[in-house]
Amino acid sequence: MPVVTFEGPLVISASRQARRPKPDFHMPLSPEDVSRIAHLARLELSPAEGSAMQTQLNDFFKIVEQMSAVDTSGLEPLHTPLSAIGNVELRLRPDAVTETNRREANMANAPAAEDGLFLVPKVIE
Amino acid sequence: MSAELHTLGVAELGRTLASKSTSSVEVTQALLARAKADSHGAFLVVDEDAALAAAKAADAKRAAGDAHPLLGVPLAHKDIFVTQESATTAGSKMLEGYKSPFDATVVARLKAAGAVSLGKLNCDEFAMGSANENSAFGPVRNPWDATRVPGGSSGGSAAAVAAQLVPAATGTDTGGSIRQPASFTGVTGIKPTYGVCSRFGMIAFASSLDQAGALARSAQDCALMLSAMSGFDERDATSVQHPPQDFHAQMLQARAGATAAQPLKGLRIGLPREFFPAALAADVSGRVHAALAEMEKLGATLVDVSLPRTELSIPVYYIIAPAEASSNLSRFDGVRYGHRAAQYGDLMDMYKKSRSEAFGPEVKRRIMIGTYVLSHGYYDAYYLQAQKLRRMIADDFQACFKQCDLIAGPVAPTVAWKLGEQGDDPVKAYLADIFTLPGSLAGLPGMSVPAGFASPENGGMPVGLQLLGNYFAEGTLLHAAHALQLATDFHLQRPKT
Repeated sequence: MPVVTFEGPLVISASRQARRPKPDFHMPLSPEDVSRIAHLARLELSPAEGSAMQTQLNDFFKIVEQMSAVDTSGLEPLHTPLSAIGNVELRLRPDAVTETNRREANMANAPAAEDGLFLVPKVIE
Repeated sequence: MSAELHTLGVAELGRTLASKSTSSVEVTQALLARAKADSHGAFLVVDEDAALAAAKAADAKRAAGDAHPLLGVPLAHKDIFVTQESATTAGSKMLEGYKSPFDATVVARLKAAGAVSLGKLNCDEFAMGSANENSAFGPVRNPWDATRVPGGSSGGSAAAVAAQLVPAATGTDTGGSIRQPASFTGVTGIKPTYGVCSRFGMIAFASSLDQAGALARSAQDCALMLSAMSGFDERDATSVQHPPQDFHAQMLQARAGATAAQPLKGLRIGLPREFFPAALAADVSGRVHAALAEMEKLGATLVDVSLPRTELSIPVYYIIAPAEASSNLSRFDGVRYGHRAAQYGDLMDMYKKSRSEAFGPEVKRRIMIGTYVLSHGYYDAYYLQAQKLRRMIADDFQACFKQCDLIAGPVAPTVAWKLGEQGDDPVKAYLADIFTLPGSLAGLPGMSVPAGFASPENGGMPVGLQLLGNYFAEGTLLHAAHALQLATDFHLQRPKT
């Protein structure tokens, strides 16, 4: 989402994590958990959807449990596949303007736009 | 002549066009007629005007001396690639009516080679699925048996090639989405090494796994397609900086020590014992072993190897892919493009209603899984642990490739199942991806090559042989598949439609 900050960032510092209680991975997800995740995901689930989601997610996390049994200490996470065989460096390009102004074409799919601006509901009262 | 133009593959069509016994306009008209009469749900859009204009341009280029092997050859694109001419939906209501201001790099490159796009092909919503039952625009039916699924997520691509609506189609493979539908429909499919094809303009599902590839009727046709599609693109941060490759020439390259009777002499094919569990359908196992026996006759030797974390690939993939998907799909907010709810209160309500109305159940499920595993306190146990296991899985492959040149096994544990058969059990569908996920997680190139047909109890449905190569060993893969296809005719069988 461009405007709203996600509660679950990709990188969490160790100190921020340490302040939180350690989650219990063997506890199935409750209806409240499902609602909380749906809110973070900016989804609105009907009661029937939420209940089916709860069952399906809990079924899914049963097959995930086997992951925790493997000792992965000392291993580097594999973020991008080719780093399995060597260093993958992020490429940089010269800091030069390469795109032309295509504002109209780029905004043509906007659900609501005016004077070259995207319209959203009022955010600041 | 035009009555049989649809039976020609890419290479044959290229030769026929080069001989000037037919024109691209004639071929395009013949295939447009078939595409418009498509009864499999493969095409979402048939772009008659644009196709005919492109065919005319191709004929003019040929008259001016251009001789690219794809010049004037019709094909179609999985609707996950953005195109300027046709609307792009990714199989989702979220993008209904979306018109991209630019072409995906893969689309632009095929266009530059002179290929003629007939339109866009159905797929699972945002490429999430293994049966093409998750498209917002209806399922695709398997041309071999309309009561069965074509596989997914590139189900429209596979069905269109199998039903001879197009000689070749683009596809994408995140966890098996080219190989599995190719196997289910009896066509040949290739997913190259991660980074060989540009992801620019390919609607993102799981960025560290997504890779474009081709589905066609032979290894040779796949090689021609891949040569035109691939190559470095500065617009994709993970694009591999290799000079353009001629995969067709690599495919034809004779192995050292090979003979006419034994073109695969010296080729060691590793069979991971985990790819042949007791639960594997007898039909699948039988066809795969028979195809491997053919390869042995051609000079290859079979080696016993192990990929001990094959089963673990399922949770690892279904953590990593949804995590990346939840992040990628956060861009669909009803502001810049895509669906916006008609009724909403504040901004948060607009996001929630727009997303909830437009995403289908499987997409919501994966967004939920991804959001959860990336959330506070769960990241290390799920996402980070999955990324570490992903390294172990990639390392297991490197250990195997010390003992063999290619790895072979089934593509899927069964043949194509009946529409609706998997019901409301997503986990059951995830488990069926077991043989394609390890190669995807490692980012290796892979193919599905037709290996024959199941028994009548299993509907006589096609069975695919999966071949996996080491990084950038597309040439070895294509060479082996081509040798098998010169010696057998499984890939030439067509459904009666």
